[in-house]
Amino acid sequence: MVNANIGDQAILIVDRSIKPKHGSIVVASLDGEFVCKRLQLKPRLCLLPENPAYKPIYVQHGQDLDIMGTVTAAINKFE
Amino acid sequence: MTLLALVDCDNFYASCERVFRPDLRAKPIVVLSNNDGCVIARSKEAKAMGIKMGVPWFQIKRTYLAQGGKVFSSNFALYGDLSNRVMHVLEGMVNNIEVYSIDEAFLDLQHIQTSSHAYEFGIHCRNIVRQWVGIPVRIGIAPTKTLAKIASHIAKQRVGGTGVLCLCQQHHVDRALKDLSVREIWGVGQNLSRRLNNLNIYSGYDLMQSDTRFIRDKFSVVLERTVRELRGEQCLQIQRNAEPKKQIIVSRSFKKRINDLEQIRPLVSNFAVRASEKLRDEGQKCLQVSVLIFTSPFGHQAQYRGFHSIQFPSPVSDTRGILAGVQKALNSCFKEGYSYAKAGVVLSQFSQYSVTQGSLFNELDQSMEVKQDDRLMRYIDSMNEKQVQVYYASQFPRHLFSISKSMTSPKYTTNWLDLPTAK
Repeated sequence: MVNANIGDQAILIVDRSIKPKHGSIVVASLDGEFVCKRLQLKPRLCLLPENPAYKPIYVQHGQDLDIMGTVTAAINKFE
Repeated sequence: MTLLALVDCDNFYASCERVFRPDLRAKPIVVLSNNDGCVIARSKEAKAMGIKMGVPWFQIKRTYLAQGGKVFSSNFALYGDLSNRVMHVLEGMVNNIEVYSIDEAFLDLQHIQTSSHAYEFGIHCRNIVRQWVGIPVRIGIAPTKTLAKIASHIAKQRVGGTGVLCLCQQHHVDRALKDLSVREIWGVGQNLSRRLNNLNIYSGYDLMQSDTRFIRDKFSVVLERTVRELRGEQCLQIQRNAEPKKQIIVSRSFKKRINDLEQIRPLVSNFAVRASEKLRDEGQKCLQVSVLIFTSPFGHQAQYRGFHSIQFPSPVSDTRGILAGVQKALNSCFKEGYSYAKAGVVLSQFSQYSVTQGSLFNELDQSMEVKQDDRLMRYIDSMNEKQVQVYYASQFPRHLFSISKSMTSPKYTTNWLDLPTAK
């Protein structure tokens, strides 16, 4: 998530009570694994990596997606 | 009609283990007691596999794991914290709540007038707890606590239901009670239900129809209250402040069988130290301390259950005083020639519940000097909280004794080093 200013090993503050919107940075569980992505709702559901090294994930039918919460802040680590 | 709700977490410990492990969704999960002795919680998948509550782990281990079951040692730091989160969310939704246990709470629904609003509230409440904390709950709504318990019980058994059930209208209550055996009713145990059956009272409906006078005379005021509650008469109010504890028990199974008193002594001391900490945490002092030691009910060795209590001359919360009492009690209940599997320490007769004067007929053991120094104890407790361990001489240092908790999940919510990670 480098393009969203979230570095490797950053500590994320996740608010589970905020309903995620189009464009929110979220923590979601996808097929049994937690991921941090930018949520895209239109034109179609997609998890954007905000990192050129990774590809967007277009969520398919049958995939197990659960948005856990909205990331409201991040603490980046420099060392 | 005033309504109340019982919110009950589904398979709470197992659900807690799932919150930060999305890969465990729909997998069978069991949680084991301290020292991994027996099964104390099961997910619905584990229940479906036929795993019974309380079964010793070693008996099911092989087949359970072979069938892909997941197992955890109990992680009370996690369960306690998630329980607090659930209760905190519920507190924000109504004016009055009674936390009834780690995974249950009664909510006062005074502000809700109709049963359809109550149902909507239940659905809302369930969704909020699910989303904000990650714990699934079911909710029973009714005019009384006893009926709310029944409603939640029925909601649990309805597979694929909404998890919310209202027993607000009489014809719903009647139908539910007709299908319910008296045994399933809150406060009616196996014994009572047998006696009720002898009087041709089999279903909840039979009990509700019983004459209250008759029930009071034949049984007790408590059961009469249950009958009234089944009729929708509120007898048990929501108690904002739960009653303080009346006793504290710390007991554990040993990792292996022990015959020798001198090997049991330091372990029992550990239980006494832990129990004393809990006692001070509650702001209490106790007048009685008891020790229990058991042989294993499994296997073919000779069985023995020892129990002895010591009375203090004045209320005690000082670990040193409690340790002295515990050692005396242990000496009295220990018998040579048995292989012990479990021991425990019970503190009771808290000073709040008893007059604390010295007894007139002082049959107490005067030889026992009871040390009591509140400041010293506060100091030691604060050090031990900060991971600096202060031990009492009779203890077995905890790092040597360390409870075998090989399968404990991380303390996701209470330890920085255990935060869950996202890719």
